[in-house]
Amino acid sequence: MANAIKCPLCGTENAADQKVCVRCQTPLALDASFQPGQAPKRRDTGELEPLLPQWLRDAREQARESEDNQPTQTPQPTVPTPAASGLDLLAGLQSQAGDDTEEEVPDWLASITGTSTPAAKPKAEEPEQPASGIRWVETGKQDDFQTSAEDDMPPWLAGAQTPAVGDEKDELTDWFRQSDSKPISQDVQPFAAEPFSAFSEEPQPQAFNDTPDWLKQMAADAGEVKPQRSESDFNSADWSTQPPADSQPAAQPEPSSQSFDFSSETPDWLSQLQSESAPAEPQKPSGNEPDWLSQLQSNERSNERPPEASQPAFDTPDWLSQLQADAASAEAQPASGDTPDWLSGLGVASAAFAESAPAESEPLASAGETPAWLAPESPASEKKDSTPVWLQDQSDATTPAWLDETQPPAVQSESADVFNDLPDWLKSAAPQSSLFDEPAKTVEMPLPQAEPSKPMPFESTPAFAEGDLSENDAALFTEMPDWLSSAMEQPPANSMVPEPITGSDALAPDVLPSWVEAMRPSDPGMANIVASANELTLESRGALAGLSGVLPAGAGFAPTSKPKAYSIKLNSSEEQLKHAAILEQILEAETAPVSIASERKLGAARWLRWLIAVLLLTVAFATTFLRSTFMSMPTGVPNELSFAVSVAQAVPGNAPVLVAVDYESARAGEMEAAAAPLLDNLILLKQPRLTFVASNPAGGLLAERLMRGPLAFHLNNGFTYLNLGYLSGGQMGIRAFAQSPAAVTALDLNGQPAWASSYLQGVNSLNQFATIILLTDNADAARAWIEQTQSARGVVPVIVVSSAQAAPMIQPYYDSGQVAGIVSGLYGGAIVESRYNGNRPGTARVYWDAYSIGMLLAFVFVLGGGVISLGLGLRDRSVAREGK
Amino acid sequence: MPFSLDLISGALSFVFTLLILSYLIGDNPLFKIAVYLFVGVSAGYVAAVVFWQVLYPKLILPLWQASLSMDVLRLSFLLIPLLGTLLLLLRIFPGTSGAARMVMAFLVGAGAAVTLAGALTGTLIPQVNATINAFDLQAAAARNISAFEVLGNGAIVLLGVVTSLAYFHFGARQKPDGSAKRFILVDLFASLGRIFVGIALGVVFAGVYAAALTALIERVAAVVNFIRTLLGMS
Repeated sequence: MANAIKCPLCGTENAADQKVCVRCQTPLALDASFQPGQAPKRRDTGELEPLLPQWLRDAREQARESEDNQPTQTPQPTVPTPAASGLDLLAGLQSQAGDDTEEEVPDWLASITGTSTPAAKPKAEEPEQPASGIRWVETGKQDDFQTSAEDDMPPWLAGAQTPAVGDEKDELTDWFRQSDSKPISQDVQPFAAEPFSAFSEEPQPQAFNDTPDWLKQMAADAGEVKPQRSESDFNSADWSTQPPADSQPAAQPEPSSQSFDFSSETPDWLSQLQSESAPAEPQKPSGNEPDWLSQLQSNERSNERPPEASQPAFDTPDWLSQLQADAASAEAQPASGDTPDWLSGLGVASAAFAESAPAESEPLASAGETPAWLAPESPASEKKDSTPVWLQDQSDATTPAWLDETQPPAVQSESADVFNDLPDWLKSAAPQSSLFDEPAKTVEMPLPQAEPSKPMPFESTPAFAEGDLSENDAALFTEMPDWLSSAMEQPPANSMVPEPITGSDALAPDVLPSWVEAMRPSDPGMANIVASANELTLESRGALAGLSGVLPAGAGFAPTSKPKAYSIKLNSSEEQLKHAAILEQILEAETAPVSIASERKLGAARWLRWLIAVLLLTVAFATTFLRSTFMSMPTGVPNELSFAVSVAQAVPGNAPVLVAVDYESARAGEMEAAAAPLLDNLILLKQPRLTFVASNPAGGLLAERLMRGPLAFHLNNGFTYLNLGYLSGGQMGIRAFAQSPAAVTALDLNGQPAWASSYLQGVNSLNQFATIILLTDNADAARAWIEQTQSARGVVPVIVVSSAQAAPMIQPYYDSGQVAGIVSGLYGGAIVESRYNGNRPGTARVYWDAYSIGMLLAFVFVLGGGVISLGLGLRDRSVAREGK
Repeated sequence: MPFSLDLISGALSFVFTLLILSYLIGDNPLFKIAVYLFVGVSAGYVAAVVFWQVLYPKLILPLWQASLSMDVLRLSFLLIPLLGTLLLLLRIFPGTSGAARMVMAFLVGAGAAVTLAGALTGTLIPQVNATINAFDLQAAAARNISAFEVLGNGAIVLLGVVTSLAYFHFGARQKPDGSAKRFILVDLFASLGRIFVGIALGVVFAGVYAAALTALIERVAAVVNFIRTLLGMS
């Protein structure tokens, strides 16, 4: 099917008018467009030379013939190309226009202009034109636009239109690319030399009157400037809607167009174009003609038929089909010569702007991508009908003020600076090009002669009709130039009058136009980073609050290779190694365990231990079992003991006496032997009211043991005592008892009120006791009682009955007068018992023989041990002396 | 033959005394049995004493009496030691041992204050005065001590105190060769002080030996008495 479009994705054949695939919704014409970031491909178009249509060949032939008649143009000095500047991007285009060297011209730019090297050569009959500033877009030769003196098309637009020939297979596109990249032989007429209808200079008064001055100035610069015209001739700026010079002969075909050989390699679009103009043309396009040409022909026919009758008959591209539709719909649109149609369409057919924008923003790699608004009007279309829909909507609009203001000087002066006549939006669209700044000085190159423009078959139909674009094509709007975008945003009607772009609308000096930006090499990684950063959430806390996209983990930031491995081996010298070895030796010596020489066990130790044990046990057992009394009792009375007995005997009769018990059960035998004689003497003589209080838990029981053991005799005689029991709290308890004895020990050991008994009658404080007898085997306990009762007891004497082991530590308190007397151990008890109790048999006497023998054995052992140690020492010294 | 309580207690005393004396041949199970039994009995006895002689008469009974008499003031005062007791009981649980810190802090603080005050007023100042008054003839005469003895005792006490303190003085200067040597006068006093310290330790050892010997004699006498009682020789 000739008019079917095969989906590149799913292979489904779709109708020619389908923009997207009916099956997979894939944009069908997407592959034909030049994608942003896509690098232009250099193609050799020379091989496509035979594929040129006949009319193109004829046009090129004519150009060569006319060129032969013209004097050879003096080559212009090469102007330094300002394209190197990043800001002056369009200056490169200018340099390209003035430089024939192919290397300076990018392919995509060449595709835009359709300029070929032969076309850039000035024709002989054309005078050398000074460089024009409007060549910032047009890079073709000035001759390309001068071949038709009646062409109103601005050169830059003509240059943009020249490659507008091609089929959907880009056959001509390739050819045009090659025409830019390599010189075309002289026998081939440039395509631009063909008299395009839209740019022909055939008298079109009304149409020319609608042309803006700046456009006319452009045309004048291109070498086809007409003589001054009346101001009324420039009422309309509808240059794009002008019927081309060949449109008049739409009914009578142009000679050059008649020479087209549609039967050979004519693209479809060209065939279609021919079919549209079939009523006016005698020739019928063959089936081999290009689709676009065929559709163009059908469009021409449709201009005379009802709009619904215009249907693409061949494999017309979608955008061409839309052109047909728009051209057909243009018949119903009233035309106005007062308002530039292309401006009129801005307000209403904003979508058309948007749709046509990609055609301009894109590099126009193929003719099929020629924007419709730039395409010349179909020859068959009339003036009004040929106006695109998007331009006709504003047909009733008045001429913009800026156009009116710029018209007179532009018409009156041919050599005037055309940049003054350029619309502001056009100036602002140019990114700080030097062309606008110093157009005449910096650019001195001959304008390429405008070749006779061939009537473009689609000039009357916009590239896209409103509403034709699907959602998938919405991305095209993102590539729209800024000036077009701003134009779309403006409200329709009178407010659509373009105003000079100033302020925020104007491009900043360092801002690239969007269509230039779109042609930059794509950087997907950065785009991903930006996209991911935009997707990140806003930081809401911390020091980075308010920032978004913090630390994006985008592509390109992650390490792509393993981290470099660094050696951890120390770079040390020999001296450092020696020092390290010394340090290791020191540490090793400190951490190494030191063997301790074990002491040699004495061979006699075990035997000596058993010997001592046997001796002591034997003595103790024998003496106690035999109840021997062969050892005399001690006769010497120490002063502390003497004073202790004196104090005890000084106690008034039946006086309250406090006996504090604080010794362990293990010492009960010694303590009872030491205390019993004194208490026996006291009870016997004074019958005191003894009150026992214990500062250790076992004290109360030991007190009972004392009274029921050695002193049981007195109990049997009716002596009674009071046991207050355990006084808890240690030193704090003793102090509390000293301060308030009745409150601390309210009950006795049996749980009866103690202070209400007869034993404590008249006693409310510690100093009301007649004396205090402390029974302790611990020096600390004696010290605690002495210290804590120091202030409470007053002048009440304290008698300490202590163990033999605690007596040396309690002696200083006796020397200081804090203790009235001390009875220490079995020795003290034996003295009291023997001296103050009339030799009444008591416990001390029972133990005394064993004690005396034991002390004697100890003396012998100590003395014998000392002698043995002395003898061994002398021996060692003598051995040592002999050794020396 | 009837077994009296004294005979039973005497027999137990005899057996446990032998078990303890078995340590003479080294640590053995019999010795351990005796030790464990004593530790257990002592703990049980202390617990009983604390309850019956401390808690019951000084906390439970007053609380009961205050509750009966509706003496709110006394009851409130008694709740303070009760609360402290409960907090101290929480120490047995590791997780709640921190609750007893306040009570322990009170006890430690109060004990430290009492000990410090008692040591200052009951030991330090009186002992300093006693050392000074060692040469007080009037005081010695009052205690029926001759002047010569007072002076002799005072001189010995003074010398012993000074030399003993010098012995525990470890300050020394370092010589150029690295060795350290105390001042010669200090070194001389230290040498004398070492004699006093040795004598003091000998006295202590003699006291310990005398106490231990007395304890041994008492235990042997207890065994002998039991044997004699068994033999009917009392």
